[in-house]
Amino acid sequence: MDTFTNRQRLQKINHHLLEMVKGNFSLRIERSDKKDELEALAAAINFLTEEIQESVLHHGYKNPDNIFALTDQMVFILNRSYRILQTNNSVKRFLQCKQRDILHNEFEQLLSTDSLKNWRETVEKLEEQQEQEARLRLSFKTEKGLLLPADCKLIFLRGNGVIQDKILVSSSHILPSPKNYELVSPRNDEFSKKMIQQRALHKKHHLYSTDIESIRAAREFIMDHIQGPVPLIEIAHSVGINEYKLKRGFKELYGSTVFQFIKDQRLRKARVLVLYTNKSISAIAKLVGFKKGNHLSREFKKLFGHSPTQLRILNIDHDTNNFNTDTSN
Amino acid sequence: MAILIGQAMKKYIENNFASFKMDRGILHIAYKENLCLSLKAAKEVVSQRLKIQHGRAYPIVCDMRGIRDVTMDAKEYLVTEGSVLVSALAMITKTPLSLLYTEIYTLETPPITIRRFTDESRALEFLRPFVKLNDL
Repeated sequence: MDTFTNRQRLQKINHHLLEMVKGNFSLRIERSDKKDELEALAAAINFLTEEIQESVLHHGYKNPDNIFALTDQMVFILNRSYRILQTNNSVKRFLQCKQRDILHNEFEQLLSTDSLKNWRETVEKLEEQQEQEARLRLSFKTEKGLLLPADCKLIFLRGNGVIQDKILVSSSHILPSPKNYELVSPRNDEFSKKMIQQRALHKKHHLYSTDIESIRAAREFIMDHIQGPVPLIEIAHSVGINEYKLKRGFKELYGSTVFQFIKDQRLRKARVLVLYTNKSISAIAKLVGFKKGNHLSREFKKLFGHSPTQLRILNIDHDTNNFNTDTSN
Repeated sequence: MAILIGQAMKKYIENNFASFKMDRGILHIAYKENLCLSLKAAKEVVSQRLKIQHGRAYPIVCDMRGIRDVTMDAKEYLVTEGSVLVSALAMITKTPLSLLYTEIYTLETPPITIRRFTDESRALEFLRPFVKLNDL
């Protein structure tokens, strides 16, 4: 039995890797409740796929002439019993199934075990509160047993006529590879032109793999020294590249400048300290690497829309979960 | 809020995602069985931990065995927000899966001292030098 189950698990891993070879990074391997080497392998592959998918997305944004060619949607129309009445052609493509095999079936049959709870809770909430729409994350099962996670929108159509009492579910996806699909007309606005010009400029400053290693090391250096001053020149020297390459490469690799990255890291830490401790703002500033409390407050407000003091007041009511005393152990 | 008095007194609390126990200056966190550590779960674990710590840094022993899955955004949250007020971290891993998650977490180099253990008593031994005298 175990050998049979393990063979099935290996088959799913195999299917997934083949999809990755084809350039499809949207799928995931469904996870079991086991904690063995095979499960660790499946989890590692899922992490890797997500990293690659994010990188593809990042490049999609950097190539605005093809940006619309990279996205597509699945659309389902359901009746009030949540059975599938109609789908678009993309469902067939993404779930690798025939349309006739899913029509009139329950929508829930397409969902992973983990997604079922989320789906039922959302539907129940919409029914109870008479609300019209909700966003939720669902994982769809493909015919080969892999998972397709997607951010979905669920709309209850409560109007009159043919749409009355129907439910619309739509999900957005990145296409496996634009070359396999019909290209949508490229964007031709001012923004795209500007981006294309910038990209042409960037091509002159190509990052080599050794530069990428150095920039990753620079990120580690920053993380290790985030509580103190981290001058750019010191970071650059610590990883053996010049400041110019560090500045340009860091932005290319991580999508933000070195200073913005440092500031964001410090502010994110400051936010949880503001919310969940009683430390003074100046103490928090010092702890996360700002010189003064008012500097922290200014940057904090820019990023989160509230000053640290305002945020603390706004969330004071949530801070009621006290720590119980248990002397029995 | 109760105050720690002497070595015999321990504090314990749990939420939907983990249990928390303060014992002799070390905070013990154990994730619940079969947990999918989403961003929401990570936020609740970090906020609960910070409420317990009252603005003080503590050494932490974290039992990772219950985790079944970790989302990317949860991992990123734990690396940044989750490293606040941690003087040292010992991660208990006994399965290949929990070992993978600790490796992925440490790859992101959170700015704290971290070690992996399969044995809890050795983990506590590692953390003992980080305990502050007035937390005993």
